[in-house]
Amino acid sequence: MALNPNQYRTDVWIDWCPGCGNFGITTAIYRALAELQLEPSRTVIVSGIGCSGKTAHFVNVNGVHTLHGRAIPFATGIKLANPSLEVIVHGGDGDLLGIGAGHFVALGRRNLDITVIMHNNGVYGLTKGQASPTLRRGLKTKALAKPNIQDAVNPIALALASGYTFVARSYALDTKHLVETIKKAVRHRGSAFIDVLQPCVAYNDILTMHYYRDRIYRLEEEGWDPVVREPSEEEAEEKISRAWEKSMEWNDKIPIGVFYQNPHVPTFEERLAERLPEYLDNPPALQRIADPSGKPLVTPEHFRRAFKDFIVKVRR
Amino acid sequence: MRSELVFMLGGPQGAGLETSAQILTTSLAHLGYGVVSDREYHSNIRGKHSYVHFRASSEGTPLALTYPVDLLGAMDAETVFTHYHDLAPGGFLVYDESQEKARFDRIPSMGKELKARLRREFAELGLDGTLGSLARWLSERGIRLVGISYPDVLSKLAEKYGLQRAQASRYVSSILVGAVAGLMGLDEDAVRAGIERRFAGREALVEQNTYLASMVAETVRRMHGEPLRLESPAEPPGEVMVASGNDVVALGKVVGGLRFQAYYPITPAADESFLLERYERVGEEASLVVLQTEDEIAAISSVIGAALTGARAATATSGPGFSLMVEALGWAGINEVPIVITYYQRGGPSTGLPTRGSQSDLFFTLFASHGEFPRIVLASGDHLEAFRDAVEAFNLAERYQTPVIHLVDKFLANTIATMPVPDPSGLRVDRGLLAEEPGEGYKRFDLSSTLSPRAFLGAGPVMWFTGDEHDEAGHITEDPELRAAMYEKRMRKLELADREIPPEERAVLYGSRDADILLLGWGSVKGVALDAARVLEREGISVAYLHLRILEPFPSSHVRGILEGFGPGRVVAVEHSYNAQSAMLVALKTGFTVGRSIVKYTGRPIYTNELVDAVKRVLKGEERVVLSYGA
Amino acid sequence: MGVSPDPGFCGNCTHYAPHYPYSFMGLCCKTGELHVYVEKPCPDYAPRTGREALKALSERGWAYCATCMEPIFTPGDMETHRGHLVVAEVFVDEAGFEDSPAAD
Repeated sequence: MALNPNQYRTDVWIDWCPGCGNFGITTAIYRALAELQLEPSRTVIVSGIGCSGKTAHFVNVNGVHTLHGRAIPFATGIKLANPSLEVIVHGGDGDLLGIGAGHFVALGRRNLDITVIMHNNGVYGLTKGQASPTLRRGLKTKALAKPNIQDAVNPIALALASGYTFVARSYALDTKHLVETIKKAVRHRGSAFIDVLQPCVAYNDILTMHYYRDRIYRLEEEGWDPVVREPSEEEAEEKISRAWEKSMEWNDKIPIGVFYQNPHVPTFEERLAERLPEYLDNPPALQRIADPSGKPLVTPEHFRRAFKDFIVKVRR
Repeated sequence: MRSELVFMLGGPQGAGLETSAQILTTSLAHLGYGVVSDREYHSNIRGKHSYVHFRASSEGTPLALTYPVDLLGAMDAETVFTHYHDLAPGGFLVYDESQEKARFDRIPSMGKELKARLRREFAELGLDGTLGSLARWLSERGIRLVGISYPDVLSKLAEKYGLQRAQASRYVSSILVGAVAGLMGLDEDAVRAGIERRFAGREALVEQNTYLASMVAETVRRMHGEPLRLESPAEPPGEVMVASGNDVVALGKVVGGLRFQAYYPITPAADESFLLERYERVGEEASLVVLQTEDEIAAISSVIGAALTGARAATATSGPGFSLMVEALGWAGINEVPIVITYYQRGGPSTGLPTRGSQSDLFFTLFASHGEFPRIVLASGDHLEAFRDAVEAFNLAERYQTPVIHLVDKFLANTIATMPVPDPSGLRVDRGLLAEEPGEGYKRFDLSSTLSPRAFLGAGPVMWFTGDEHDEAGHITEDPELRAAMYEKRMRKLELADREIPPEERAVLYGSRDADILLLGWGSVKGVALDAARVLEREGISVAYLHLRILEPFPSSHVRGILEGFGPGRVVAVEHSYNAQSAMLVALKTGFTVGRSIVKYTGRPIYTNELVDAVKRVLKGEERVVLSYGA
Repeated sequence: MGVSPDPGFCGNCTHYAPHYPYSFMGLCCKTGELHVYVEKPCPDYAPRTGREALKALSERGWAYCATCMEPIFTPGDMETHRGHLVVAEVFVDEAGFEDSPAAD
């Protein structure tokens, strides 16, 4: 029976501030999951810490609410142990690009088939509005005592440099756009990243709904082609370079949409399957490790054969 | 003839020493001798001084290493300068006589502290600081010199075969192998067995190195006879396993059903994961994923993720890596995730002594991470224990749904020993309580029993996990009553483990309750304690040893009973640390004050000879003996 | 290892790249063969002038003293290594990785 968006809701009370960009993101998740008909028990949302971290509890699929910055490595273990699961990471900008930046880069290098949705509001909401890694230098959001003294990281450029094969930006209050972007990201084979711009009504009085409304435009409306059509390095390089350049656009006009997509890079799961042919059919999570009586699957014969390098015959 | 031989090979790190050690170990094993060897090395790739300390016996695998050595084989002059003290009276020194003019104070790789010590010693002895003068002095004191010109030997080899440039340092390995084989009377077949194993599939190398070793062996035999020949082994086994501590833990994990291992490179743990990657397929249906992560935080986090899906998952690390893992350890604790952390202790704090051993992290593992949650800490005393404990660690983790820290150390990791080939069919896999066909109403943290049946992520019901305190379904709660109930449920698991795991398996008494003195230890103290007990027994002193194998949950009343039988003055904590943490733990868990300690914190293992001496000093009334032998 | 006074051997030959850490062996850069530093005349012998080491020093920033097993960074240091086996190239064999332990 087909699932409707409502069936992806839980009965946990959503404790975000009314008007929070997370409302839009969560709405988009419900819809995208329903449109993709993802089976709740086969889908895992892995989240970090902060307001965005709670997303895992509000969606009726498996939820793993982890540590600050560590959603990606938790998700990596889940996906590698059982690659048939659909794994989606939710993290804030501080979570993914501050404390968890090393993991963010590592996921791109692996091109594991995971979708990362970044709730990007420029501030650390739950700890009272400190500047996040995406807040530009010189800006003084509501709670800051002084203007931000650190430069911002460019999430799109960082994702491109790290090797993500699907890199997009969307906007929390443009639900329709976000639903479509999430669907594309989930369908993409490989590491997918969506930078979701999101107002924080509590602490960010600069990057507001009005700020974004005046600046955002859709890449696809100007005929942007992000997709690498042929498995050629040349085309990939050219499209990455263009996407990189596009990612620099910010002040007056802010593009949303898919910046870059390359479906030709083997996923980490495929790379593993080259070494372990049965990996995708019989991954770690599903393998037997003992017979019904509890005897290890490794018999004395297996042991001797596999570890013959450690066994020395004694001369008589 | 002798029944055992203690010997040492030394040379510049990364330049053939390991090859010599492996060949000789295999050759001796092939002849049915028991061998144990410890590699001592620097945090360096190539060039600093490194040595391997062996003990071979015709009566089974020796329990520990000891000094002095009957034979010192030196690849370079630095080895002789560093270890000449270690030679037994009448012992043999194999060295490169073309280096006789080498002076200790011109050896760039030698530390200035050792140079200063040698300068004082040589001034007192009236030596001029050259290798030649030291060799003559040793010879006058009864050390038998086996001088070989390494360049001359290699020239001869070059005449016959030409030399392979890629293998340069290998040739030095084979010279030492040949010299040791000659003095021990190992025949060419035995040496060839060792060489074939080391250079498996590389025929030219096998040929050349066998020729070289035999040529040296023959020369040495002609000049010196076979003075170090061992008696034939009394009851040689049909086959033996030869493996390091890193190896046996990896093998144990494979047998125990490991399916996911994540790690970040660190000494002395990395070799285990490296090896596992070689054996990612064992048997027809078993394969495991080994992931090298970007850091230790990612390693433990991905291990937790994999464990949630039902895979047996583990990581291997050392102190600095575990320090990074601590936050995630707590996540596994509050979410009742069975993970195994193999913890190879090395000298700390901070980077400390990366390649040297220590047992100073016991308290760290017992209390790491904020908040309270159950964890199981087990420590292995020798290779076979480490193999079995690698399996047991998974069983305990899954049975009690909690992280298990398997403590080992550098000494075990880098000690290669002969041992019986383990029989995996005698082991059991216990996955603990699993939910049978969990449906919609399933709650991962069901409060109706201490152990809630586990279901796996992706295999049935929708589940939630959070690092926050949670309700039965896994959603966040701050309700005081639910908090207390969930807290108590977790903590009760440790009480359950304490009731279920037999105390005699957690603290094992070797020897008699009526012994003169009781040594208390854990981990790699086991071998040396039992070996010292054997030596002291022959001198009329009876020594028992209490081996703490599971340190959490601690078998308090069992241990208290044993210790009280001896009384505070007759119990001696033996540990590679400053504080003798096992004594502190005993005080904490039993109220018993261990009155004596023998400790060592140089980063080198405790040797039988020094432990024997220390026990005698304790019997004469010393309360604390600090050991320091070994270069 | 110092340099032999007799000019005809490996130690004085411009083609000789001493092995690290066993400088009694070395690679003949002329033939690509491994040589043992023994006093044996060689048809490929060409006397080392020190120019190669100086050239390496100026172009690359360092030369190497195989006698002292240490890098030389300045022309002044060349002086203190007079009479030593100072070379531009050192030979590190490819087998070493199998012998080096994990060590950090």
